[in-house]
Amino acid sequence: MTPSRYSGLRQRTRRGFTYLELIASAMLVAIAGMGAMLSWRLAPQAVANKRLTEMSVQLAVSELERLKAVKYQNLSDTTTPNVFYYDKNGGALVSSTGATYLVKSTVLTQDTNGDNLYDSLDLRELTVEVWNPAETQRYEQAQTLLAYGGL
Amino acid sequence: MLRSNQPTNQSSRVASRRGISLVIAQALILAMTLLIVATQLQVIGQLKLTRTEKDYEHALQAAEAGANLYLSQLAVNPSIAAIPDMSVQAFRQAVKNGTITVTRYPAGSEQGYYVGHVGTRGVSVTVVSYGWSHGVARKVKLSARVVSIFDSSTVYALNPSLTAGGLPDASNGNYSWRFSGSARVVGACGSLGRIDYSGNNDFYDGPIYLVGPHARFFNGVAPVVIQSGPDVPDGHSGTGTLASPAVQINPRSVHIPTADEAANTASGSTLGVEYFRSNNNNATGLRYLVKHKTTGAIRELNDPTKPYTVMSGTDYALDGEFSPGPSALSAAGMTANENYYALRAYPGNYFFDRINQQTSNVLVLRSYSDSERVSLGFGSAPVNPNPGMSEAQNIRFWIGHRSGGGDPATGFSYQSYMEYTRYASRFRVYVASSGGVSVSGTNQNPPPPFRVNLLVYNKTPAGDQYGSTTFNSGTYLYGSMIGWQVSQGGSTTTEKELSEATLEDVLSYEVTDWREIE
Repeated sequence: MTPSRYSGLRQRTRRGFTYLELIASAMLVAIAGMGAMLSWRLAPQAVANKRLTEMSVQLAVSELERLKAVKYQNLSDTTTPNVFYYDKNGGALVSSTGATYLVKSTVLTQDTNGDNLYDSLDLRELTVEVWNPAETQRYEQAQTLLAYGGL
Repeated sequence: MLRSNQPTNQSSRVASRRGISLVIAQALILAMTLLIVATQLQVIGQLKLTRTEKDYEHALQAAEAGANLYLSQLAVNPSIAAIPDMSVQAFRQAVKNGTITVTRYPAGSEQGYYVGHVGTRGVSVTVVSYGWSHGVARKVKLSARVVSIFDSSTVYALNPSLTAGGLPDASNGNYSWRFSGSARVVGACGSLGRIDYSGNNDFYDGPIYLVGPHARFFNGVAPVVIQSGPDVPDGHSGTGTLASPAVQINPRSVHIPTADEAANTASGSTLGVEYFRSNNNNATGLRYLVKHKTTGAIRELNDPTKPYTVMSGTDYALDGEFSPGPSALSAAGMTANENYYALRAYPGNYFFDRINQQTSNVLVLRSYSDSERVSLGFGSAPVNPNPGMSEAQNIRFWIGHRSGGGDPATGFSYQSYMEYTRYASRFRVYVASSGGVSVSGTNQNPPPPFRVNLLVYNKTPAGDQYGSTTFNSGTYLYGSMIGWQVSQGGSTTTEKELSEATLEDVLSYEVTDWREIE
């Protein structure tokens, strides 16, 4: 065996091993690439979901606080829900045009003591729902009770 | 050879370098993968954090819901046990241990509250409420003080003024609150039905509450509300605050108990006002006052060797007792140098089926406890003769039904005076009688105030509501008046005074402060 033939054989052996490595590497690159692509798609979606959740909670809390500020004795029970529209930044809108959020709130007097009279002994239940404008997806529901003289 | 050998050495080094490159490339890929995984974990972590934040909001809402529920329970249930004041961490642990059960709100959800009061419950109370949502807990602590039914308004008239068919009734007699003459009202006032008034009537400060769906003004026009001032109206002190808006629409009424319900709350019985027919201080707490003809000194007839009783055992009509005969007074210890002056009522509960106080009859209300005598400047006043009531401050008149025949009318005059004038709420009159109540005044300026809280409202066994009150002449009612129908005539004035905080006639607990506690 001439050194050159021997070295050529060794080179071929080394080259074959490198191909396997390359294939493995290519697979790794492909997996990593897919992961990166998924991340690319997931990250903004996650941010959007996070924003939807946070903004919905914020809008629901804001509407609950608004109802409480009216005070128990001045609140009327709702026969149809109060409806408000908000843009993606939580800015109030006069109509559904350009809206990202639809907020529905209801006020209901519970006959807490069961006397068939609705007065200051009965609790008011405040419910707020935050939806997409088409009302196909509900982002948030918040509910609380309000007593006469309560908070 | 050197050249021929060189490629071999070079290719060996190249091969060696290629391996290193792959290792480096793989390391980079691994690093990139780890970075991607870390980013994903970060994103997932952020989303979890958002969910946790949402649970924090829900936990707070649940805590507030619990606090409100508890406040409404406190108003009607005098015997709720206190709970321990624990940290949020201890609460969370107790829930996990199962030693505390959270009331789920909304029902079936994974959130809810645990609420109660801590410490001693009195006219003020401290409430702690724990909110729970998916393992997240929050705690709010609030202070609340009691509000009386008599704090809601100066005059609160309950008749919705409807026909039998449930329609608004314009007939003259079916009013809720009627003003005539030059009658006026100072402070918050309200009605569930029709308010009749004319241009000669004045409404000061306001607001006027139109409560519920049937409240209205007779002509559909709200009166002008003006600001009170010193001696505007006559007898008024200080300057009032003009409400804005002056007329307010309240969809829901405050809960006003009937006289019988108020009696049940006070007595713990189910007999209504009738309970006080056999549980009263009539025999001991009413005393005669006489006045020295020369010096004008007033003293009470309380010589222990000359005992007397103002009301006989089966007589529940307080009428002739206002002007007792000379022989009865002499037997009770009045001397020849004295004249009869007044009837004094001590703190306690009194039952009558009628009161007929003429304008010449004087009723003196000793509205302070024995221990307050010195500090209030009544150091030489006798002790309260009612057994076990030395620390009582309140005088309660319960007007019930007559045993036989129809209920007679009850009348008070402006000559009902409090010895200690600070709290009108220390004198309360609850009227279950269907005879109605009238209050007669006098045309002096400033008008003497009749300090009282009046509840003239009751129901028949069939559920029919009644209770009419009429103010005449220059009556100046200072305190509060709640009734089914109220008529103010002449130059009468009604002015609101906030009642002293007590656990009687509780309307609600009002939050005065709240904060979140860790």
